Amino acid sequence: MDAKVTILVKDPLSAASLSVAQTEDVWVRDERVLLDGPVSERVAILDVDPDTGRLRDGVPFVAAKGRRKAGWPVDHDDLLHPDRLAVSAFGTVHKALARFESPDALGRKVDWAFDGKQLLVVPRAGRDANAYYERASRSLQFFWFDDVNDPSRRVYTSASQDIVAHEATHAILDGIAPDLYDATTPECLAIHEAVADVATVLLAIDVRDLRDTLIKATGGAMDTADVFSQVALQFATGLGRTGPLRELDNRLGMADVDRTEPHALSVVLSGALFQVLMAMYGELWAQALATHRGSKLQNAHKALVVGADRIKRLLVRGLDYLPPGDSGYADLGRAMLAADEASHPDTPFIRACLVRELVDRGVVPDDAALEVTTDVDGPWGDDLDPDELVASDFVAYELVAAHRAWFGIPDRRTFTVLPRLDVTKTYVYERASKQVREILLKVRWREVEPAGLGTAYPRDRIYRAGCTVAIDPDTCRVRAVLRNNLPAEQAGHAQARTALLRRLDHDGLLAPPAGHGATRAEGVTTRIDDGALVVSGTAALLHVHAPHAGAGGGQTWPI
Amino acid sequence: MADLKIRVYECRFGDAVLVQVPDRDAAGVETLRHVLIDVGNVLSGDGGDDVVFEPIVRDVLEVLDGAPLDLYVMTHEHMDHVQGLPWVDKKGGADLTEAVKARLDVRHAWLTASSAPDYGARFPDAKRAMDAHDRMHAALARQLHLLPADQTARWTRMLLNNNPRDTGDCVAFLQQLAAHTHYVHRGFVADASTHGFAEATFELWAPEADTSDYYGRFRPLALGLTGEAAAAAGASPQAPPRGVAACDWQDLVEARSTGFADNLLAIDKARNNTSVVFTLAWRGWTLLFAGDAEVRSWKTMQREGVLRPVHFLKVSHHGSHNGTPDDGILQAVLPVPPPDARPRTAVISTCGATYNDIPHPPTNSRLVDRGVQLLSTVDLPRRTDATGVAFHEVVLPG
Repeated sequence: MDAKVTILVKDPLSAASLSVAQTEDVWVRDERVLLDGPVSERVAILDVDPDTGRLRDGVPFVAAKGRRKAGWPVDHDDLLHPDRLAVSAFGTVHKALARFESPDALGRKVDWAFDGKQLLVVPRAGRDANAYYERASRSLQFFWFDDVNDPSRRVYTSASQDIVAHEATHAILDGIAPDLYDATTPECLAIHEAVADVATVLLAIDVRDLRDTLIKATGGAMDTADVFSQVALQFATGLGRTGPLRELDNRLGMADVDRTEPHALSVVLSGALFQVLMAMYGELWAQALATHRGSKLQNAHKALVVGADRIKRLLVRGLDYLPPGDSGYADLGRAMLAADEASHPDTPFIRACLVRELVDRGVVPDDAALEVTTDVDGPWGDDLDPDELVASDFVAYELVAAHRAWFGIPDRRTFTVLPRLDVTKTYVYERASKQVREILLKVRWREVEPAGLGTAYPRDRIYRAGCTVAIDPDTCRVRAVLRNNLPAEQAGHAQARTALLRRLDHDGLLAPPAGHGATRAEGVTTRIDDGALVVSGTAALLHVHAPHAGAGGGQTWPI
Repeated sequence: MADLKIRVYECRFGDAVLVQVPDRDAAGVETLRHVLIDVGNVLSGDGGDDVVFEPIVRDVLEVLDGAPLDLYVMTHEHMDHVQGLPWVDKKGGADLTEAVKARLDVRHAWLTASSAPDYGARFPDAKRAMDAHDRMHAALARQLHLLPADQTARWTRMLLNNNPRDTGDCVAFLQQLAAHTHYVHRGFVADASTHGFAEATFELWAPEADTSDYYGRFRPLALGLTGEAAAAAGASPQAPPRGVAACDWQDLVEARSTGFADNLLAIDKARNNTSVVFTLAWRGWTLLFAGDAEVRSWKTMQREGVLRPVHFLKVSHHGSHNGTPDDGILQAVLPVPPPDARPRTAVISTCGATYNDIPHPPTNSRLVDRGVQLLSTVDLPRRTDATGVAFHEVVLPG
């Protein structure tokens, strides 16, 4: 069943200042259930009146009839009417899902990281300058606050496509790479933020009216347009800031940011990906112009759409290849390069751009650090039945146990084989596309290192490492093998983990485990396993306020 | 030779401690000097019975026996530590109403540094953080009615205890209590000019002058979906909308209420960690009065290297699990084995049926396991009228 949904573009302030249509229509497709709310099988809107706590009636679903499309029509002109916010948030979450799951990206449905089928969305969660994804409650929560420049005006975070897309991406990413949510390596949490910001940019480029307007206004010179690179402008200005919440058009390197603060750290990765997007756009535009077909602006339009698609594919498939456990920027870089090489072997331009960005920003010391093992024989020889590997945990464990050294699993260490992913994606070979099946085999194990947190905590702590193997089921050859526990990078990650945990302990956000039970402080949980400290739920910190933190002692706003 | 005596009063859920010290001057003349610490209890429930204040103050006056009170210490700005003296001054017997200051004749008062009138100007970061806490307190008070009915009593108690307006009124009274008021912190030079003692010496272990570090982070405040307000408005708090699983709905309801609890606890914790923690050393004995310092403050004291063994401990924060630090820190204060043969005593001033997990038997056990005699005010007879007073008295020979 399909339904048409009207969603808000960018945010009301940005849309108005650009003189673009403030809404766009998107389709929610192939849903088995569509109900009042809106509610679908995977997303449900729960609109609470923030003053009374009363759950408002859902916006009625209207079925298709004649030429009328199915959907949740809202008559109110007020863009900030609760019904409009509810429908817009629902549509934006589905828009993000569709972009991630499309055949030219993941090629499969995302399973949420929590044990439920529905992501619950609260578009008016309460008064606060915040919004967040929370795995434990299976929800996205969008708050509102009074604009400091005009206290009579409320800023609804659910009215911002940027913010809704950002938070929805956290939930989607948690479904793709759930270990990032519990990681203690700051770069893992920063990947969450960076991916969410880049997804926001890609969804904004997807808005035709916005794209057309900007290309016309700039003559195609996108490096002069800051709309796409600026995240959550209205949110930031509503708080009295002069710029956006985060600026992706940056040249920041690892040495320029606090490597233990995920939001600050995230702009290095999101900045790198944004620059790759701009480079890809420039290259595609130049190629299109060289053909002397179409107008300059038509070519710019096409280059931007295709470039954004390439970045989406690079990023989303890279995330699918990401090894389980604590993966950092370099791990994601290698995963993206491997995934892109598999889908676009004949067009290395984007990979060269990505390597340059990651080296220039100090993510890795040199190109060699991003080299990935691809297209090799697996250690299993002919002894592999891919369908059995997918279907049978026993077969999968037997396979990994027999070749544990090849996977990188230390001796005598227990390991977990995750459910295999059997996916069919659209691949591009020499400018033609075809459907390619692929099996992703992921293995995770635990590593122990000194906790470094003083006598209140166990002496050692646990972090998780892993390996992803992409297998061609037709040949049983290995398309790529990615391991994230590389000795050359672990020393730096260990230091960063210690610094992050000490900071959390200092700030009262981490509490020593109490006996055999788990202890929770501000969403972060600690427990003892085999005498070592296990920390989980660290991603909850991405939405906690620090009243005295930030430059000049001001607030940090952790969307 | 006279003894040092410590009276820990049964004041319901709060603190009231009197220390009597035979203090010998350079000429060998011994004078009984006195320190009174706090006097207060919570504002509601069984632990907040105001009837205890007047007999405590009368007992203090009887011990003073006409002598001035040399030192009053306000550990921190919570009602269960500050409201007793202002209450008696306002509502006590005819001889006490508007006469507490005169009757006690306090020479010196130590108030926690962050209660100083010029504190905000000197520590703007701390002021900004404290203001944020006050705003959050107001927001929580506004949303209290959205909590499920079975949770409101507990959180109401904590909201009242942290009410900045009420504590502000009490602190204003205490700022005017003594002839000389000092705002103290670690690093404060506690010489005789600040307390009047000749023989006994004092050390300030906590808090820091700049307490901004203690003001923690807040979670977004989300409520609703349940509670009386929702029911009154016609919504069923138990029924999820059509198409939403009931268990998912319930988890969401519970998760949304945690922001309220976490933020109120953060406010409470911050104030506790601004507690004045000080030692009184006298003739080989070391007494430690820890206010309501929580683990964070203890960690800072450890980091600053001020901790050392003591013979008497006023257990922090009414014996809660978060007022007594982990064994690594506790070992510095109550080492095993003890450094000398003198007996060691710890006293908990507490009361049941006020907060969950207080008293906290595992914490009591940890203290007892260190070879310490443990006393608790819950073991004292409860006074229900204004005619009697109950206390534990610890006597240390000179």
